[in-house]
Amino acid sequence: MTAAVRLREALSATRERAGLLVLPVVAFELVVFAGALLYLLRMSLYEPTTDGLYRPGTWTLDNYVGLLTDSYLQGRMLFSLQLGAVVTAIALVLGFVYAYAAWRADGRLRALLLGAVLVELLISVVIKVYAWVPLLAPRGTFNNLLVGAGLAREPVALLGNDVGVVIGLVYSMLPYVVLPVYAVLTTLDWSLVEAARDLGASRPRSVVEIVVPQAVPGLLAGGITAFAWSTVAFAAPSILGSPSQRTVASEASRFVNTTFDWPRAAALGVEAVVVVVLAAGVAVALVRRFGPADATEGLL
Amino acid sequence: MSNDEGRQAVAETGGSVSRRAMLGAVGGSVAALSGCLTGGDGADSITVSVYGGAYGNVFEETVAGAYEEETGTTVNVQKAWSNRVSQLQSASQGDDGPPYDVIGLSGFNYLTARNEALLTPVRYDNIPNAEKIWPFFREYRTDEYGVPGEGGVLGIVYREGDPHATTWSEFMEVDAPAGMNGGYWKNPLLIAALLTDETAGVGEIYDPEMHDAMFSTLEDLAENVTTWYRGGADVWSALGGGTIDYGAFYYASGLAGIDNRPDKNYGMVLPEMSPGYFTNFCVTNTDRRDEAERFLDFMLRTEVQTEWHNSGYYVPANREVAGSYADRVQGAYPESNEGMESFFVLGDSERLSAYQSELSDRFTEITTA
Repeated sequence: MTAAVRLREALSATRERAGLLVLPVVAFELVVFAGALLYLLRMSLYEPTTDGLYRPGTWTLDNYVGLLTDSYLQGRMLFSLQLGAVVTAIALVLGFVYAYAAWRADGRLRALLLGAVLVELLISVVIKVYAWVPLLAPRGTFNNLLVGAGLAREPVALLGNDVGVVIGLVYSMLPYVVLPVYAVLTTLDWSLVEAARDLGASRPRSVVEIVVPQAVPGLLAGGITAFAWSTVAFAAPSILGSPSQRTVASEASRFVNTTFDWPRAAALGVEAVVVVVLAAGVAVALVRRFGPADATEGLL
Repeated sequence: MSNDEGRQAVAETGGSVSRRAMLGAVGGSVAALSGCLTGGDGADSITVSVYGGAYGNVFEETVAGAYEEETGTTVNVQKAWSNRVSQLQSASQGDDGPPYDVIGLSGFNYLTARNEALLTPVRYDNIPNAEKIWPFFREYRTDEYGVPGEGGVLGIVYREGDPHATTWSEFMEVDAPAGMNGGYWKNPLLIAALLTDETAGVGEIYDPEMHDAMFSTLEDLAENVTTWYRGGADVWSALGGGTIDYGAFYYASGLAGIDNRPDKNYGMVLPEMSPGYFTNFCVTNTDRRDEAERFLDFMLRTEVQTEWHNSGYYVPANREVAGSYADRVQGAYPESNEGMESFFVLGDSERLSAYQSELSDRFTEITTA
């Protein structure tokens, strides 16, 4: 047996063992994720009833027809996607800056910066969002500062509108951008940046041309997470927005808990999943087409 | 080791490995932290689900607290707003039994829970205090699955010194930012129906041909509503933060809220006719049916209802409390069954069930515009 054959067999055995290790995860995903999705899909195909939650044993596509022809609900879907896009864009910029600062910081400062992000993950999203209410209110902290400093004559509307919702969502999404970007940056060889600067690149240019392309896998992972979660956000639009900021999740909640029309809620949920997955797929395809080589390796 | 050396060492482990390890660690931590921790139920305990906010706190302190003191049975009070029937339905498909032994429901929540067979008929022989309930509460809708416990009506809460409405029609006239509950369509539509005034009472809400007129009134009303809030906490933050000067809010909860605020710079006014609700306390499909019914009978005792009323200002279901209403609501609450009938402007959920999706959709569209 040649060395090449032995190596091939060894690699094959390793792959089989690795495959077995993945089995529990696959089984878990099938039950928890795929199972839940199938249940959601089945629920969306029941006929609704005014006497209860749904009519068992029935099959219909009317919920989807009604959904797709409802201009109000499609308007909410569009708004949700726009909200997700804006929040993701801001979170990516701020998250990259924060992750870069943490990467370049010294020991204690770096620990503090990363600790602050991790601590935010430990706090309930509802509490985090509610904390913004006294800060953004017309007589709240920010407006007191703005008016007190003479930057505004009267309180600025920061609550009950898009501004408040975006602020709350960006704050909530930041850790999910910062952590993967930071993880990727730690694999970057700093000497590449130094070499670029030695060759005459300015500091900003060296960051844009060397660091940002290397950070694309982290930005993509963080961006997809931020987009998926902020598109179907519920707490921040409910607490920091007005009804004008209702997302598809707000509408699904209304169908589940107020009008007790579970099939309609499920159909909306299925549509949201499909739209978000498609959007994420488009993002990955764009990065594969125009981004740096291997930017999506290991992610999708 | 310098920082750069440290980064270099990490880099040498291979980009994809460290990236996956990091993401895996973060994902694992998030999954672990987001797991729900649920408390176990002891043998001498009962779980009661009630509406949240100040309402739930008052219930826990007065009714549940007094029951625990007298019987030694622990009462776990679960407070939430809108998703309780959904939770009950979800739990009914498992083997662990319902999450609550007793649940306080009103309107469509009561109707849906009843139609989905999530409730057990009340054995009134075990609840002698039910005899003291106002006939209006027992006859307006079936009490087969739940004993009426208390009721309430909408009032107008305002910041002292600021312009505010004192009637529902003034919501369209007073030049000051107003608030109204946007989380649920029924009360704003009942107000719109009252103001439309083309039929007696709120007949517009039951007649599909009158819906356009009613929604037209709502659109006029909405022009002065700057905040459509979701619950009590939003009301106080909107008033305190200056987003609104006044708003529609439950009269009893408003009075109790003012009592409990450090700055008592607020007032409540009760318009002549107001949308309202009353709650049926129901026994779920629990195996603690006897204990649940004991609790319901206790809840209806005159002294318990009096204490509950004095703490939260709700309209007691027990008619024996009528002679001793709290000073703050003297003259405001009716003291006869006929008075109760005209006092509560209720939307009959059974009659509205055929239209509720359409009414909810149109209401939401207006508040979202």
